[in-house]
Amino acid sequence: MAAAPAGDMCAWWGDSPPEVQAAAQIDSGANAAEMLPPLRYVMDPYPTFNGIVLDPRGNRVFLSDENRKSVLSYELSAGGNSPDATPPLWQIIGPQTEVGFIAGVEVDPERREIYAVNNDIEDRVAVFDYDAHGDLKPKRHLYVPHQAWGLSLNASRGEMVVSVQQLGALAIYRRDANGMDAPVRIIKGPHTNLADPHGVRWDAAHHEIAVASHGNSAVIPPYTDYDAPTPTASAEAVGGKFLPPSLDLFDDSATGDATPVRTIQGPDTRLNWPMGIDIDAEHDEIAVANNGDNSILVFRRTAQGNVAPVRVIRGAKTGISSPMGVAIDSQHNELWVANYGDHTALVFAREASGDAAPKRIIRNAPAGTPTGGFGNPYAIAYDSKRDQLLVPN
Amino acid sequence: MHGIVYDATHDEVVVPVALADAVLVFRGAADGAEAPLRVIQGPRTNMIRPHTVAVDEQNNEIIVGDSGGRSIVVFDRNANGDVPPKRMIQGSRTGLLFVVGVAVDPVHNRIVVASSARVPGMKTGLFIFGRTDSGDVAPRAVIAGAKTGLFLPWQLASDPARGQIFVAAINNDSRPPYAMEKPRANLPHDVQLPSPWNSGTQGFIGAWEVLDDGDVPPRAVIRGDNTFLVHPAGVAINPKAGEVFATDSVRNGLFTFLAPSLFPQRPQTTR
Repeated sequence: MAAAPAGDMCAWWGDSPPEVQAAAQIDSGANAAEMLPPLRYVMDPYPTFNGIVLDPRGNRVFLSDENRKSVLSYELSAGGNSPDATPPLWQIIGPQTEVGFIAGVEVDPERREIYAVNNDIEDRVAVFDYDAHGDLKPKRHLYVPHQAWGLSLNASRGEMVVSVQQLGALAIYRRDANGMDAPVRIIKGPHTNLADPHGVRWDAAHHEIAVASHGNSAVIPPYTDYDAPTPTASAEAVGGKFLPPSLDLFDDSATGDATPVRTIQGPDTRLNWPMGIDIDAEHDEIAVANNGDNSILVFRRTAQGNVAPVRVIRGAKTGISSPMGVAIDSQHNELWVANYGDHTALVFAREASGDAAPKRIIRNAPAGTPTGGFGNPYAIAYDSKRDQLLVPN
Repeated sequence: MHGIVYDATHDEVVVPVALADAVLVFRGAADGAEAPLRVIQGPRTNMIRPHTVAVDEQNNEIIVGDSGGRSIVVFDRNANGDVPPKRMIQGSRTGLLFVVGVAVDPVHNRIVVASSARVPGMKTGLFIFGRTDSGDVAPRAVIAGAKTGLFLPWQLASDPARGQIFVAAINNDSRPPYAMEKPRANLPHDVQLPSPWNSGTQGFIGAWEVLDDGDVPPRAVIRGDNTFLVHPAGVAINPKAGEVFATDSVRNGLFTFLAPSLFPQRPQTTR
């Protein structure tokens, strides 16, 4: 087991290396393999970036880390060309934080609060003070539907929107909602075109909510072990669909089965597992972390239909690897990318295009450190032909 | 995706896609953005939320554990498109609720299902059906109870040659605050739900015999701090090498254990 990775300010309870005892004597009796140490393991001791949000006025960038279950903060000027890990300003990490398989992250610079959305079974948003550090309880938490992914604030409306994958929905809450507060409204239904939504961004300037969908569409009834069976379960099978990925923009007062005001969808868009998104209100553009082909796509904010992006950042020099998050800093004319495929966040010139090299790199591990790529591995299969292990995310 | 299985006979990989009510079949060497060979999807399939899969290589069937339908849905291995299943196990007599694991043993003609329930009157454990059972049928056996140590079983792996079932007992305490988009009315506003990763009930990998029944402890178990496992969700086996593989959600990693004693040579028995 590696020692506490660079950047970890706090040892997480699951990190303590076990006291390895002498190899258990294996016999043919019951419980023969108990306490058996693993022969091999694949486990990444370093953070893996996921969501990203900037606070240009506060000179901060915040990144969620799904692997070690943390939130990290750096100065906007952090990083460079060094192969060493970049020390963060601080890191929220530990069992008290309620930060688990975290996805979206948002910041409220006025109230100096950070929002972290858990994506898998924690089913909650945790809110921290701006300079929170270490293993501490959130100042408040809000329970949300299962598979929440992105979150975006609208400070002037005092509301926030959360994308929910398995519902194919956007849930809008009061900004200071906590506990079991219900959404004030939900955008959901067949006319919404929402299908496994991920990145979401509230464009307060234009009164719109933008959301990226992967295209997985299904109608799912309550199904957990806390939900009693329904007598007509088989009658509820309406069948699922694989729809083309899309960017949909809604009027930000929309509710229910609302039709988007614009939809960007079709093969020319090059959308492929679109993850995080950001809106540059000043330049009227939307950026998309296009995980499926390791690129950043930039569209005109008012684009509609099967349209090509106005710029694409992609290629070996870019260092973009399974991007999960993107953020635009129009104040400093920079575009940030959070990579899931390696241990980096990249900073480009805002108008970078093609196979462009980043201006600087923030590393959460030494250069060249591999990542396991796991995101809560719930299953495994053994391929006996190739002597390989298959792990779905 | 919460399920995956490798079909060694046909060199194919099968995965369920819960968010699109689909089962995808890829060739074994598939890589990158390669299209599946077959896609089972559509209203006639009766799938609502396919969560987990198994392949019966001997009888050419794909067995799907469907958490939304509280069911087991069985297709021909070569099924493609919007096709009805060959068989379904579903209904109140089955005892199934949150179906999260499935395995098939074509030697002993059994389908084993990991199902969890926090609803009064229903059980959490391993529900064992006849391989060709269909409809609203009671299981032939149910492995459940305090001695089993099963708080929440997850993926299953079958060892038909020895009549064994390996279970990833994730055993975490995940209490969903919502029923889909509805906050659960029985939860107070200021409820403090436990973290599912710090629930105090350690998980393990356990092995039972496929013909076991009742409140019986595992025949073998991999558990404890030495193992690095906290809440293991996935399990697979390589009997030839005596290896057991596990994925763990807390560690966010995968682990290989060498335990040849768990795969003894023994004569096959059927009932």
